[in-house]
Amino acid sequence: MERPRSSSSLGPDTGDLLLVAAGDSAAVQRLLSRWRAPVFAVFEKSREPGDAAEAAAAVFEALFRTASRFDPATPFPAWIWSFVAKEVERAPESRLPAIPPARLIESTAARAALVRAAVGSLPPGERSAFLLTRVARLPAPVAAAAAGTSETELLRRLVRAFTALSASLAPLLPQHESRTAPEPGGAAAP
Amino acid sequence: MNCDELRQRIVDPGSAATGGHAPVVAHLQSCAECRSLARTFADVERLFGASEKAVPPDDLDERVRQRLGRAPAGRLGLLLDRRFLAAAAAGILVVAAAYLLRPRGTPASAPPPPREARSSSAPPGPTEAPPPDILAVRSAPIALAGTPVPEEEKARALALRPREYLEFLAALSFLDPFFPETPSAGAPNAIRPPTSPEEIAQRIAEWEEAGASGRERWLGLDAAYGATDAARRSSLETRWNALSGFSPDERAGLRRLAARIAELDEKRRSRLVAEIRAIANAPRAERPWRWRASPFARTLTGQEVASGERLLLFF
Repeated sequence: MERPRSSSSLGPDTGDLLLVAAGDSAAVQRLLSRWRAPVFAVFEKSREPGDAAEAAAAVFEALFRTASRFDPATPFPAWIWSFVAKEVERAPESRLPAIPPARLIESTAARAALVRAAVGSLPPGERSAFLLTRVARLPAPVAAAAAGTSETELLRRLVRAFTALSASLAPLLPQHESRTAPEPGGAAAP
Repeated sequence: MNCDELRQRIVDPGSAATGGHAPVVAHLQSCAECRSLARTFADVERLFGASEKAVPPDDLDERVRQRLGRAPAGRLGLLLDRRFLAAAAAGILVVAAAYLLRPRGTPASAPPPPREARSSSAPPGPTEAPPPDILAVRSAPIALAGTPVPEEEKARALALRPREYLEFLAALSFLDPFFPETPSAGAPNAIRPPTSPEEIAQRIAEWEEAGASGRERWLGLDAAYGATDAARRSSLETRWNALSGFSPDERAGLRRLAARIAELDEKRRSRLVAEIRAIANAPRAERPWRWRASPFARTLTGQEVASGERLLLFF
């Protein structure tokens, strides 16, 4: 990305993070209001809402505490998503719960719990690759930069993530006639 | 295209826009396993795409504030920690109460004897209170018990541009349209190195107070500023000099005004820049009402409006 020529060409997020570093609490609030929903959404797909809120808060804490180290030449999205990726990868792999199929049919909460557990059970690198591209909707190069890896490795991780999710979320997926049983990658369908 | 390449292609979020689908189609036609896998992957994708939008809990901001409030002595933590603000307010009240309730006829605070006189006189008696841990040169605290700053580091700190100036640069840039496009010539002096003993003490105190990360940032900002082209530096310095007569409150207002401009998207900002430049070029008597009547100023706080007006009338 092109390096900004002067501060006057900075985007609102970059400008606000510089103001945060200078002690401007209103800039903190503005960044929170713009980013709280997308950041929370990523964690909410792999953790209970309370834990997801804590993880999102940890991301903002890290973002604001390191504001003084932020280089305005760095694209702000890459910067904030790198904190998200770190926090996503910090969580240990969770175990898939055994939810009876009947419960999955009748309960939205049970289905949501299975989806969270399935994502949470992915190995950290695969989990962050999946969440950054499928929930945060980042393009592969941006997601790879945020996760601190190459684009090729990110795509490999995505293939493994999709393969594992295909197995762990099988009870929620439509049944096709010739579905090939994917390699579960360690995750067992309930 | 082999199976691995195909699978990487179908999970790539940008693959739809990539083009060159012919090899993908050819592979899917010939490989039943990949065909099935592609369909399953699409189902997984749909499962996440169809889910409801997550709404952050109402207390998320509060959680962030609580975390930042745990800062050991960070400026950011203190800014956001309500307990700190409450304690500070309580402290002010206690000091005010002590002042108001002091015995009549006793001065609120007797001026202390000069330091030299104290050091050369007899040792303090048993009833004399010990010296305070913290003294202040202007508003910058100096810890007496701290390790003295080595001479080499002092020289480094004294060679830097003022931290306040460097930290204000982003705001100064966003305030571009308020300043004349061709700055008036004049020797910039507000960012000259400290020379008087008081200025030197102030600078060393700031350096100590900055902490390791603050010092690193200061050095970084100074180096980045040094690399800026001379004309831009001169223009910024002229502007900073113009602000030297502004009170801290007015500067805070300008910082907030800059932040309000910063949060606009590029298109709105460009439009605003043109509007403000037009006001700045209008006859002096017209500027205040034109500024106050502008759609942007109507969204600002009184302090932000007043600071902008002061700047518009300055030149």
